[in-house]
Amino acid sequence: MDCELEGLISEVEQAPLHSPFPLDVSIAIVSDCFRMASLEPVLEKDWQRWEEKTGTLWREQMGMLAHLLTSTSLREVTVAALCEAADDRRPMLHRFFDQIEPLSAEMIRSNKFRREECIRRWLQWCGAGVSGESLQESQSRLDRLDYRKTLEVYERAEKARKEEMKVRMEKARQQKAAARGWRE
Amino acid sequence: MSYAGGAQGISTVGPGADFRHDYEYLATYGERSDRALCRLLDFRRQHTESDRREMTAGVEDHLDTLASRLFGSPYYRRILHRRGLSPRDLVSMKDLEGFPMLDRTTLGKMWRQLPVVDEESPSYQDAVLVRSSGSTGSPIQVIRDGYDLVHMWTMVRFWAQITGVELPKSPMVVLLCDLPSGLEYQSRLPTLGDGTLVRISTRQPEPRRRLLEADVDVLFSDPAGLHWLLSEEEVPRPRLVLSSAQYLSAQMRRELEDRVRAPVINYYASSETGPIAWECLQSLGKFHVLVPDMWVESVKEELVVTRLRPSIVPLLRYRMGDGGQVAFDACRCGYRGWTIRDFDGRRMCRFLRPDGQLVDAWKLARLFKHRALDGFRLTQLREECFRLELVGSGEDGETSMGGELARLLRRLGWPDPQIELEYVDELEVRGTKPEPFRTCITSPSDVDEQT
Repeated sequence: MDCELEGLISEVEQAPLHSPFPLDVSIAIVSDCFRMASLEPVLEKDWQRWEEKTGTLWREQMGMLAHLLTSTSLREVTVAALCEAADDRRPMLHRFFDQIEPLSAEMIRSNKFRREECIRRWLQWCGAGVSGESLQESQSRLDRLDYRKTLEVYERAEKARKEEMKVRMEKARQQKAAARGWRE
Repeated sequence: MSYAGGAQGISTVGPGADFRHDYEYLATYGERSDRALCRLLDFRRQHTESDRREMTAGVEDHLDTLASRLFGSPYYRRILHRRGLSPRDLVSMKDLEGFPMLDRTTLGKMWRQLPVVDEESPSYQDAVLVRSSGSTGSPIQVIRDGYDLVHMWTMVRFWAQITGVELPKSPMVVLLCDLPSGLEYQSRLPTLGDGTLVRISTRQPEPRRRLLEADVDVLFSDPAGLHWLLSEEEVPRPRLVLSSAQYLSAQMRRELEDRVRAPVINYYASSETGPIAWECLQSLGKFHVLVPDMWVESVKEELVVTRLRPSIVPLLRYRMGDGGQVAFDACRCGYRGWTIRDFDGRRMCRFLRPDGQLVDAWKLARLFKHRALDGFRLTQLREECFRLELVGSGEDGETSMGGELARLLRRLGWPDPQIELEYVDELEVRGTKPEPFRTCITSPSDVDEQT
């Protein structure tokens, strides 16, 4: 099952989100995809576990996912992919949430790169390909979009900058102290 | 642009090197200058037949360098993080649309946070703080790395090549300056064929004699300096003339080309970005963008520049404040790439003399440039009547300006100019950039020379 990603993305752009979906409605919308693919939905205790583990950002992500599934053809793509899948995708759903872990609803709504990242991760989870792309090309695009990697670089660079500032401040303090001693 | 100090003030977050002129030091940038020239010429050669898509792909090859610089800049890390963006998102030129723009005010405020902090890099160690001249707005602080300071000599080699000008060994370059400071100096140019740079001020004794004796190969100036040059009986014979900073009229360009018999390159640059484009020698009014060093977008008719050439300060979507349209162009001059049309930077303005002659208002710019003014505007109200608006309270000794302006206008052919001097809190701006000269007189013959 291949998805026309460009078309899907333009569907998203034309479907403004008026108000966020409550969590129970979001869960029901995602569960519907399983039912439509003649699969058992994810167990309630699993949803609860994720909610306890991941907190508010996960609720936002679920809301955005529900929005994408109801306002675009993503639901049809998801159902078709789940029907065609050789293995049970449900146990892998937690990986999807791990991979989009830093993405807020606002990012997915207003930032085209994070939106693409979220949709591609979802397609990858449900086993749908992207039309016109080989598996490697899709993976390479996902690697490029992976916001977790960017955050790691930001964090490393900020840490290095703070360290460097500390060294500079210490050097300046020592120079000041040495100058004072000399004057005295 | 003027040098503002040895960067001591930025030592806590930025480079601490002193500005160096010595030959050995400047020569260390020779290899980088050669590489930069090859990059521009190779791109031009590789794309003599390319269409827009192929050329765009060629420019996109340079995005990764920009992305790595953005990761190194504290300002960009913070601003992109806040928006959930990553420099790695930049894969195509179209992706730029999803990135924030940088305006002049923010650049002026955030100059300490913008540079890429890389203690080991010579470019970082050699960086200096300069102050823009303020010819198109209030002066701001800009950090330039060691190579940025000699990049113009690479550009001279580029423009010489594309105009078919052969520069001799050890060329003589003269910077002809009409600024009131009267500053003069001499420097060696190891990155320009071991040449020599001499700055000659028209405010110092015998500028004409010294200019003629210099045996100049490349002449740099701005329209104010070129106005002075054209008022002289005898002019030098350089092989190449370069003009920037102010509006260069087509009439003046023609006169200059006739008298010096050399190609005139009118280039578009700013202290913040460096050279961006140059005016086509065959289709005046069209400015060819220096791809792949620079990328120019037109956003709501304002020119927005991304510098793809590596520099200590990554510039992503910098708002120039100038108006214009950018389009792909296969020009009859042989240039293929992106061209700026309807450029309204350095706005043309012509004042009407009582005898019916039109005079380029930028001839008066020399009076205002490099003065400690927060802002000014000169408006021609009637033939002999001008209003000079100065931002401030009038307590800073600028009251003599009215008299100086009247003297200059008399020299330019107004028998009895009347000046209304007015101090204002701020100047009303139409568009995004200051408009230093305006006229309220509509002359039927005043048609844009460049259309």
